[in-house]
Amino acid sequence: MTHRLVVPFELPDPQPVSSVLVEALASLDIVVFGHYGLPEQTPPAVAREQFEAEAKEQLAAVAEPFEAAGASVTIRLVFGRDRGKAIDQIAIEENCDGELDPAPTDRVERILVPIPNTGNVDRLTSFVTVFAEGHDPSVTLLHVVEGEGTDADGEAVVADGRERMVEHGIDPDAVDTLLITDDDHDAVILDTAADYDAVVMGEATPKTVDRIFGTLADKIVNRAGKPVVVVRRNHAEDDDGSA
Amino acid sequence: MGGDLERDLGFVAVLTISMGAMIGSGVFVLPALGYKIAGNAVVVAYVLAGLVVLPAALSKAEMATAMPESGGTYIFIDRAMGPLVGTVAGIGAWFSLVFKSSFALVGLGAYLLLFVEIPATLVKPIALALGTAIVVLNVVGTKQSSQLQSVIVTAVVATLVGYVVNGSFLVEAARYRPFDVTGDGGVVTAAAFVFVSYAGVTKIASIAEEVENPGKNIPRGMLASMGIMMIVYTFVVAVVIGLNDPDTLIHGGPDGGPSLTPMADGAAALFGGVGVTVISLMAVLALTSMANAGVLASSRFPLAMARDSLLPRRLTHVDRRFKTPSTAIAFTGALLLVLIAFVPVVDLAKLASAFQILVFSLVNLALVAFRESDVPFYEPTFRAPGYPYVQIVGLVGGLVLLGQMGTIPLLGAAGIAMGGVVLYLAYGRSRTERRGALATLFGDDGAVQPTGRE
Repeated sequence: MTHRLVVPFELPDPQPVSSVLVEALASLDIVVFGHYGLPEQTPPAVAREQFEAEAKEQLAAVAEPFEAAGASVTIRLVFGRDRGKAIDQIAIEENCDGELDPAPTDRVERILVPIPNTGNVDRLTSFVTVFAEGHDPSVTLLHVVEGEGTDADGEAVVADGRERMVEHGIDPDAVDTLLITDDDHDAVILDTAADYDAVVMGEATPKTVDRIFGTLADKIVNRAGKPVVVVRRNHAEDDDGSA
Repeated sequence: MGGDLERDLGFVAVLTISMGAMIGSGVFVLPALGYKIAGNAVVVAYVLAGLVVLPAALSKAEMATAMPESGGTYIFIDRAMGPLVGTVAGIGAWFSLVFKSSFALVGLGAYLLLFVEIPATLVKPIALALGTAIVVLNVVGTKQSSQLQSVIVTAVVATLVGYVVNGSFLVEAARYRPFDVTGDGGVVTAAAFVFVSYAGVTKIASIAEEVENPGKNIPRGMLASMGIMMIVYTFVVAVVIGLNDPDTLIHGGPDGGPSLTPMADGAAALFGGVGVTVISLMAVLALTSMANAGVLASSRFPLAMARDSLLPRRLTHVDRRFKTPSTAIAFTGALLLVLIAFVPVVDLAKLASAFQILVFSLVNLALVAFRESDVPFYEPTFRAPGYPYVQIVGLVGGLVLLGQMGTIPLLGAAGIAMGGVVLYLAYGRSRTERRGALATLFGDDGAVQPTGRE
């Protein structure tokens, strides 16, 4: 099974993705997405007329390393205002199930995968398996036991996650599991992420607090300085309850 | 690579944006000026003005669903009747909005003076300073905040409702008698004068491409916002009249002219004694937002015209650092400041209305041109009811209002029309080959395109 990942770039003058991260991501299909952010004063069509050629050139330059690493690459360019919305729209149009929140990194050898007891675990584990292809990092499945939950419940969650990944074809020796009991789920993940090279996690249900203070993924990128791959919820699949 | 915009504005967003664009000088500044012209009957003038705007709003709603492009009014008229009329409409719409913004800024200065004890002669210098700040803000670029916008609209509407409810207990009934035309003009003149209070209904057309299900949400949002504003204006203006001594309204402003802060004048007893502060605060919020939106929206007209080769190409230039069309904004800003500095306050309002009436009349004609000619790209998802009678009523109504406005506005409207013609002959004619939809009626079916830029 293939997975498609949106790799967003802020135009003009996009920050290239670290070369080790490019190598690590090359087993996925890559959608290089350039967003040219505009203030409300500027009609997108006018800015496009003036800056499109240059923007395309810059996008091609940041896309080139992915192609060189053997990934299948699609390039998209949007002139607009709301970056988050544009990424969502492109992810839906391009049928992407993951989104990269990049950060500079010099190695991608240890991956942290926080795993919830709800949501689309199958998609997350399948994504991690494909992501691990080629560069064989070690993967740690982390579950945070909260509130009424017991260690036994937690064990079941990580064991199930591990089993699915092995079914998807990952090397069983590369996967270990970690249980932490704490009521502050986000703080635990943020702290633990500091000891790893990158994080792959499921998209949380959107909350108003996140809109103001940023999502957990944003915090991991900004505070721990680690790149994060967010595996998107699939709205259509969630609605009818089947995967 | 498809479109750049996301359609995500629903009915409530359309309603809020449209009301936000209308609430401002019409309710906070104009009532006393209208009162001077029509006396108590100014209440009727607001309703009358709304009724004359209605056909243009319907026409615009239909065309917005067929041509959702930024540049709204100008684009509709240009594509309907060709670049000559397009130039006149573009310049007219641009001037009208800049005049309206200048007037809002002068009113803003007047309300600010209620907070701080400084002489009334400083109204214009303060308006100039605020104007400069807003122009700079627009050149540097601002982030769209529909949430902030809806918070402001909600707060202002809530305050207006409070003003009406609270004020209705305190009004002096004698001030409504005789309910008659007691001013130095008439109801029709006053209606022409407050026409600009509804100009904001245009706003939706310029963001049509972001509206979801535009065939329903655009006309409903426009009509609902107009209906609500007609009611709001009627009640607020009635309370303003009931709360104030006529002499304060007519002579309470700078240089013994009409008051520029009519809502605050009689508000001392309202909201438990803090009425003046509450009203002034809301006025400052609404007028700042109106002036800012006015500068932003009006700079789109020279921009759209320059893209169509009717003005120098340089006006489309987007600044590298700020990513804003800085030339078009600076050009608009310069006009704004010149108007504040040199045009008397009352004339600012009159001319803004006069140009708006001219443009709205052309909007009605544009719809007729599209319906009668059969251009392939014109496929509106909403069709305005009552065609062509509604448009004829709108057109005739507009011309009647214009005719009642007196010399300066009439000369202004004629001057703008002449200026547009001269500009087209001197600049645009040799650079454009477009024809309007209208030309197809005369057997010329070449060169009509939805954007004219392909």
